[in-house]
Amino acid sequence: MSDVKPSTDFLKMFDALLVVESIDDAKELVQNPELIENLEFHEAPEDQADEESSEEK
Amino acid sequence: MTKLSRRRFLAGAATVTGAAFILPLMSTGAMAQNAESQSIADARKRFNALSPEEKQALLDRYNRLKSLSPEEREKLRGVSQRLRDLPPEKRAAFRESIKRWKSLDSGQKQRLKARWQKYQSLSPEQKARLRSKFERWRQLSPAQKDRLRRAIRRRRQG
Repeated sequence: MSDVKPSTDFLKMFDALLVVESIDDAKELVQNPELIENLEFHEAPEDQADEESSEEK
Repeated sequence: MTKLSRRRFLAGAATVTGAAFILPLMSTGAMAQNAESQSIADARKRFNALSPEEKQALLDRYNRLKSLSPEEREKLRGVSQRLRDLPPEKRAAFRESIKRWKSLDSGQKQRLKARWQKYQSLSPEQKARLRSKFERWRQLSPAQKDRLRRAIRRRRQG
């Protein structure tokens, strides 16, 4: 294994391969890359700021 | 200036002007190619640092992904590039988001996709306002976030 020479295509995908385990994972990632990258933002409650101000009252 | 020397002068000027436009383009292209070569060299270095088992697991994974369509593979290379280009803390956050996404059930994913589509239809001002709210949300402690989530649930139920 120490003399394995990975292809250029493999190396271009390297960082994605570290996080994608299955075909389904890969398909979902390439279909929703921006949503997944900004998941924390899209998971935050929509009316968070209104609630924040009402809690403070 | 004779006709011949004038023609030579104009030809020379055109060459110089052309070069002035082409050279920056060439250097931009060369820079992009250089960045890609460096990025591949960096991936090779990180791959070589892995254990034999880890290398084999990634190669197996890569072989399984060969059944993706050419478009999907191209997009996956794009995601890979994006992961490489992000600053370390954002890259770590993206990786965490991928893990988090995998842990969601299909209903949660559908709701988030709907929110994503709704977000896309907003004006730049509305997007900026939501981003600003989100930044305030991020500043809250986990306990404050829990309190707010409960308050939101109560309000929706009531």
